[in-house]
Amino acid sequence: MMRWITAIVLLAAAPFAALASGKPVEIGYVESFDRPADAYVIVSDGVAKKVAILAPILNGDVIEVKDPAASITLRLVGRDDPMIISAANQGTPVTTEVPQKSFWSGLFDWTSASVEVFDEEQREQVSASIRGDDEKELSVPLLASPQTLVAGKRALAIGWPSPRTVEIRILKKGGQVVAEGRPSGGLWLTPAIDWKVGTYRIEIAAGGDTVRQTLQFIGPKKAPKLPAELSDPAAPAPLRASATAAFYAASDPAYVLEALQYVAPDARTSRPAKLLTLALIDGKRPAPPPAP
Amino acid sequence: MVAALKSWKSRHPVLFELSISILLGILIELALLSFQPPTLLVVRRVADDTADRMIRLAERTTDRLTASPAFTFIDIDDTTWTDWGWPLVTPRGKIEALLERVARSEPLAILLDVDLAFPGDADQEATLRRFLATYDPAAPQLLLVRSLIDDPGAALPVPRPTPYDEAVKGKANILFTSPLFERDGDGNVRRWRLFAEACAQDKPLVIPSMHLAAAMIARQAIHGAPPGDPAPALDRMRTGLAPFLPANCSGHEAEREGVIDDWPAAIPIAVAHDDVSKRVIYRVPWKTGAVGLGPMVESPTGGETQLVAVRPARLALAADGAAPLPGLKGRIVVIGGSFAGSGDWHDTPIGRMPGSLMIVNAVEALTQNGTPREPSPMEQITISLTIIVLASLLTSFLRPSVAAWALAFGIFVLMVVSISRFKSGVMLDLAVPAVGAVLHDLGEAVLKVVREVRAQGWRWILKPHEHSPAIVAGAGHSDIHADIQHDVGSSAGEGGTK
Repeated sequence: MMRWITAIVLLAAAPFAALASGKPVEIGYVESFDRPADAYVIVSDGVAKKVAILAPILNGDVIEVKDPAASITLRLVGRDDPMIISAANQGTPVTTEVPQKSFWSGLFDWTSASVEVFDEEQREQVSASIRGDDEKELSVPLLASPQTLVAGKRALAIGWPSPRTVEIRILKKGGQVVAEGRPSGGLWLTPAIDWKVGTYRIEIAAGGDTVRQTLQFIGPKKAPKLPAELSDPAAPAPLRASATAAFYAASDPAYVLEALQYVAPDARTSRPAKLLTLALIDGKRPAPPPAP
Repeated sequence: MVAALKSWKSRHPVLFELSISILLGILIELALLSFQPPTLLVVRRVADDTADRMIRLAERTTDRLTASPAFTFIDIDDTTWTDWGWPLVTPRGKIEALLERVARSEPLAILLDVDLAFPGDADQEATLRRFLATYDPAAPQLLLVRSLIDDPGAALPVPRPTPYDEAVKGKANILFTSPLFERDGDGNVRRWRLFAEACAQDKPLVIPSMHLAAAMIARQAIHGAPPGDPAPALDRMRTGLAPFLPANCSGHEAEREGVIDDWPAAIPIAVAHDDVSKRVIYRVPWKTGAVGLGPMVESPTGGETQLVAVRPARLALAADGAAPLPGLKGRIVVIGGSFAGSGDWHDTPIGRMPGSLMIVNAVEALTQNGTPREPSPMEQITISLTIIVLASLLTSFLRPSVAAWALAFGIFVLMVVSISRFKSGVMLDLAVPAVGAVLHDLGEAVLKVVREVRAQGWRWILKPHEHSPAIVAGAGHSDIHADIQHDVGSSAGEGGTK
């Protein structure tokens, strides 16, 4: 009987014996410091080490802060909050407990977790729109309502808020395909096409979902009249394009796709154009101008 | 012979029942092991549930690992993602900066768990392309992600091109790999894929998984090269994968078996038909905000560290750009994201975790154990029969509800005593004992019904009641009468009705 008890005690104590092996244990890292690095020293087992962001901290390290106004922030295992060391609290060995698991405590933990009595709510919020996940539902906010565009020869930009691959087709009345493609990345340009006044249909499909919408092309004279200042040649062209896009998008939700045409070509080179492009693709538009 | 059996039965009815029960169990087990019928869904679920419990038990009772690599997860966490302005696509300029800093910090290998196929900013793409094109041949092995396009009209998927394909062409230390795992119907990811078959320009190809390639590097770093084969780890992997190259792009071939890495011999990485070899033995659960995850391992620079050190990517970029990042030497560095909107979160038997941590778990399991193995056939038969005999004994002597609890306790003890073998990669698949137990129960129930029908005739269809001697009195045979008495006695605790 005594032998059994001894064996069980030894078995239970084995993990703790291993932890007490005397080897240095990494317990965290340097997150930040507010003075030059040479204002601090990490003394590890009697040896001074340079301070750097992400430098490992070993159990028992001592931090020396030479500048009275300096402080250094450490992140340590088992602590939710950072440890801040300054001249006031320097010199104390940094120690913390790495979570230990013995066989018996682990077995008890596992057994109690297996016998769940109370219902733990395990719900989480999920989004029904796409964002890089091919299994989510397709969403194209730009085409939430029928869109009106100005007729004429040009490439048409189409955007959707996800880098996923989609199938796009634009059809004339009668079903003839005018443009089609299988782009990914959230933005696509058709080839330059002479868009005639009339009705077209656009279809965007991915993963079994299809979004369909009507595109109404109108003559330039029927488009909203642009303020005179937007055609001032003194203003840089990308700025005028962004302002024109903002004007169209703000004037009517039916002109959001038309607005995109002004900023999408500059999205890679102009930050304002990029921001407005992303906002339009996400279905956001500037507030309408105040009523006169 | 028959007379002797009848005589034994009348003298020891319980022992006779028990013997019949055990014999039935043996026959069922032998039939299952010999004919390998298609697995029943309920049995697969029982086996998965048991393996999940074993994984959780192993995770909670593992304090340290020997012969394991150490990992650092450079984590694009929520704070980093917010600092970067919530971009739709991981900024390629940031990736370039991270790779550049990590590469000069002497890690064992770098795993970039970001799909580069999605287009980013043109200038930043050019920067990353330049970095990859000039990647030093002496720099650590860099593993990139290659995603696949499932073409409904083709038998094999097509590798998705990236803007960096030309830049890395011919570079021995940059390799595109597949990040594919398998998700079960209940949403849990339990199994890996060691490679993906694909077809590019009418040529079939095999793309190794990121976890396989990283494990090959780690195994060679820990155990050295196999005697007589000093080839680099990834060359050995390519040799091992060569037999799995499809003959053409026209269709899937029959699943093949073979060994990809036989060194060390005790823990091979093999492709097998059995389900067990595909299981990921997870050891590291995720905890948001943790500095370190998993059991203790030897640090490559001396001392001990937790298996996975988690370091925010924003700090890696904030560190001194001219110096190596501290603490990465000799570790496998995984650059990936845990930010909530990444779309790369997965359910596993030990909880939800970002995809990068799944890769870490798979690399660690392949390095430690190779592919999981079943016990020897003799062991399997012994364990199965033990469960059958135990079930027979318990149902013969105990009330059914008590017997069920006792059997559950027996399986609990079996799991606990076999946990050390489980940790070494020997996975007890309880699917066969489960089928055996189900069929055994079914067989016993059928035998019981047959006896009752023989004894009661057409009256068997009537609901039996207590104190209904007419039914029992109808039996003209003393042995059958004894059987019925025995059956009624054994089920009396459940109310006397069936």
